[in-house]
Amino acid sequence: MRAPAVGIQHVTRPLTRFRKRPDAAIVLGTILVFLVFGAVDPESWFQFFTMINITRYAAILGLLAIGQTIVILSREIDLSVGSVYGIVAIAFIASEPTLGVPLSLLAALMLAAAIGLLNALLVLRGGISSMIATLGALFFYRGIIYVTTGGTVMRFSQGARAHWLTQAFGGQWLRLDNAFLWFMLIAVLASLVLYHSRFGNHLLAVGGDETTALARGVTVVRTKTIAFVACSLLAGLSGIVTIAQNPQTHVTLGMQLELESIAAAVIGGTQLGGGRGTVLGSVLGTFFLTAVRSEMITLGAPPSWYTAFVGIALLLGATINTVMARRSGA
Amino acid sequence: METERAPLISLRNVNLWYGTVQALRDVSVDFYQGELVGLVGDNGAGKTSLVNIISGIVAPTSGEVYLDGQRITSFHPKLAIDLGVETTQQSVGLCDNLSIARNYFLGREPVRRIAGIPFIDLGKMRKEGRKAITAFGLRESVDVDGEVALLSGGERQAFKIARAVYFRSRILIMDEPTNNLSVRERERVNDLAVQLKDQSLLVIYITHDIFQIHRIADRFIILENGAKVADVPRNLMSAEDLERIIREGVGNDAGSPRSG
Amino acid sequence: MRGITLRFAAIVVLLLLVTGGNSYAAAYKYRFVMVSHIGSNDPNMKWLTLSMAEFEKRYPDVKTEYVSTNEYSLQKFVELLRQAIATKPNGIAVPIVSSDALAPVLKGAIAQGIPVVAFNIPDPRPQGKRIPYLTYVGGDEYLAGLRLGQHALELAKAGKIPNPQRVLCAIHDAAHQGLKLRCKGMADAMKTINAQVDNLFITADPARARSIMQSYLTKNKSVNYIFAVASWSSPWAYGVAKELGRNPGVGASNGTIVITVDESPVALEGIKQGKVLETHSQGFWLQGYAPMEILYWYNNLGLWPQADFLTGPVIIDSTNVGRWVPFVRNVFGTEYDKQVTW
Ligand SMILES: Nc1ncnc2c1ncn2[C@@H]1O[C@H](COP(=O)(O)OP(=O)(O)OP(=O)(O)O)[C@@H](O)[C@H]1O
Ligand SMILES: [Mg+2]
Repeated sequence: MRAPAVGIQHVTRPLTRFRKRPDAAIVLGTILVFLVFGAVDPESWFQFFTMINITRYAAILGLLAIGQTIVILSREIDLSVGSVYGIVAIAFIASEPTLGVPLSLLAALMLAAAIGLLNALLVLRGGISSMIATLGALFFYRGIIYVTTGGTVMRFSQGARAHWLTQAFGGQWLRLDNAFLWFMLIAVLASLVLYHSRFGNHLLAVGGDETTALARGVTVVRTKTIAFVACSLLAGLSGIVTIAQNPQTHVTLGMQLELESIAAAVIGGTQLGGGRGTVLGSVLGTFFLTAVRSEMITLGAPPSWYTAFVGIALLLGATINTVMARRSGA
Repeated sequence: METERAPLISLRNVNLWYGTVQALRDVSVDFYQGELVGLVGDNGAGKTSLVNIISGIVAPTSGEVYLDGQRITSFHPKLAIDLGVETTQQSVGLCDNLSIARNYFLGREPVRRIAGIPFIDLGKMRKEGRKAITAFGLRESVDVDGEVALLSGGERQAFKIARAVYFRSRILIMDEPTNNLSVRERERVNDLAVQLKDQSLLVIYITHDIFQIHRIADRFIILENGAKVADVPRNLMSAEDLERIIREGVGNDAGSPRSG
Repeated sequence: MRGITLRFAAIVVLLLLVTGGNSYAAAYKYRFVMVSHIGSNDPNMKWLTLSMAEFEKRYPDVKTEYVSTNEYSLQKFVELLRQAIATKPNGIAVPIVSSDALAPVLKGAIAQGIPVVAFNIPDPRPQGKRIPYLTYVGGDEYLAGLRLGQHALELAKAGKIPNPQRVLCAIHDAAHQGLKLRCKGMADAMKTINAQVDNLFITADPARARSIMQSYLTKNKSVNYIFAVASWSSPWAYGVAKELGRNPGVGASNGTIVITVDESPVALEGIKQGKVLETHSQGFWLQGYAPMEILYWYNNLGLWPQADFLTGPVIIDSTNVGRWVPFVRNVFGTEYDKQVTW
């Protein structure tokens, strides 16, 4: 047993502590990306519209990424979020003429919760792996969208757009999108819940070592169920926010958002093996992806390259995160 | 052994089936407060299955389980923990991804209300975790905020025992706690087991190291193919006899000759 | 129980077949089948079914059938086509969704003496190499882009709208060749005044598409035309231009001109509201009607069409949109208003 080097430890501690964080790489990566883009392309980078554009899309993707992070932390995955995002938003539009804005909002969110519950049932009671169960859900709900809408989405009525509740999600406050404020608020709440509530501690334990969690008296099934429901609810909320902001939509609403949400979480340091990751990381992962795409288009790279870029960033991010985790001695 | 005392735990005619495998056969056994019981037997004899029932991980297929004379009807780890049963196994009990402080309180996190909202009391968790680190002889350099993955095998066991003590458990089940431990760490874990017994806990200790358990246990229960084949106080059986019975079996003595 | 129900069902089906077969023989001289990739979940199906109903009214001796499926797969489509051929109709109209997959089946039908008309999607190979169908009835993606571009240039020359500086062609599906052809047509039209056309893959998700267009437009300030090659993405293009302060509209003083495709409610209302300059029609109605007419003429009067029948593009702008709206409303019915997402 080595003699403890107390003095030295105090000096190195903040840095070591930071390096041990699962989101260390993305914190640096995002700062770097923002600095580099600012230096390379200051003229368009520092424009108000660029920032609005990035924060707007980041809010939508970020809400999905936070939900995805919660599920991944519990050692599951939710591939259905893109379709849930679409179907919940469309349910909101479709029920509004009969129910009015407040009730249709409630109904849409209940639909989201029900879908999350069903996902959880399939995985936890049905014993289907979450990869398969939610892949099925991805196709199923997209199919339901096509069948129920007949291929085109009805309009969100003028009156409904002006409703205060719609404005609360879609309007602006001090030139900032309310959607973005919701995103920030939920990110803070999710962080608090994950790291400062009993549920959060249980979720991390379940994702890290399910047997131990069970043996310590954690109700694993309930914890994972809440994770799935929360993820679906956030996906639904993201869809509602999108519609409230820009009511022009289509049946394609939310296509491939599931992949982007997973990418944001993983690049943000969330480990697919469960139990390790932060909301901050996923939020920054979202900003990172959104900023890079925006800048790639600005610099003239064809947007189809972005898909390849996401793949590279994902591999790179996962590798860097793994290496850093190993270096820091885990 | 003062047999007039009421048993703390009592199993009556317990059978346990895993599908078509019978892990426990008509087992009846009593455990008393303040004793250290060695639970021994060959691989697959049913030791873990037996303690899994006590710690609420599995429910018996048939038979009765009493705790403090009260019949237990529903089996869940949470219930067992609430009733004061703690289990330490080599591989189970600590989440590698969580800090020491968080592991210490996992499942029983202290809560501090701020404006009525229940936040987990990380300050208290850290403080108590740190106390355990010093009291149970972990390295000074161990950080309560570090992941438990950084602990050595012996430290992990000591830490789990510390946790059982902190939560005033009455029953501590140790399932092969000294596997893969150095001689020195093994000593420390065994010392802790004896200390807990002296603090009048019931310690059920599972191991394959017969000589080691013979030194510390008050009584031995031998399982063979899921059945209890012996239940003897230490002074009535030498370590050599104990080992022989486990090796050669009891039920097979007459019928099928087993030449080692 | 189950067995009895099944047997009963079988008898009913048999009876129907027998009586049905008889009534065919008695009531109709010809039976034409349209095997389509446009299912009932696609609002465009009504163009075809309504125009075929109109055809039946005019020719009481002809029975037309429309078969399609909602879950589109090439395999299923070929199966559907096979089944249609097996009923030995007097003519088939079919989109050439895949020339390789359809060639053997259609060649077999033609060999049996069943005439085939291709509609909506032609066999892209040159005449002689393509499937020997009678003719193709449908639009032309390249011409759609070209004519829309040319028409915009005429209006610009007349001073009604600004001259195109640079054009964004917004594509939602990178793998769709037809969409790229539309952009190519637009690019060729714009070449005459040396205006550059950029193809931008915006993806199909609205939020992402808006974000991509916004990034692009923020950087490329000289872009003053947006060609949205799906009408449902035209409100997104308009919205982004508006948000960026690019003053979209259809007047000489407007900063951004939005052009789109199809005679869909959203495109027509966009024109009516002065948000979209123009759109096109590929003559969907004719694509249901004309193949039937050609098959009838072939069967009855011996017509061999000497060229393909292009049903479009028809250019629709504020001058003729008034005539298109009632026509389209008639097809979409109550769906019309629901589809206007402006
Ligand atoms: N979850 C399970 N499903 C099916 N069979 C099981 C399960 N757990 C244990 N068994 C079987 O029950 C029997 C008793 O197993 P148990 O784990 O209780 O033995 P043990 O005495 O603890 O053995 P060891 O010394 O190897 O740990 C064995 O035959 C084992 O294969
Ligand atoms: Mg065991």
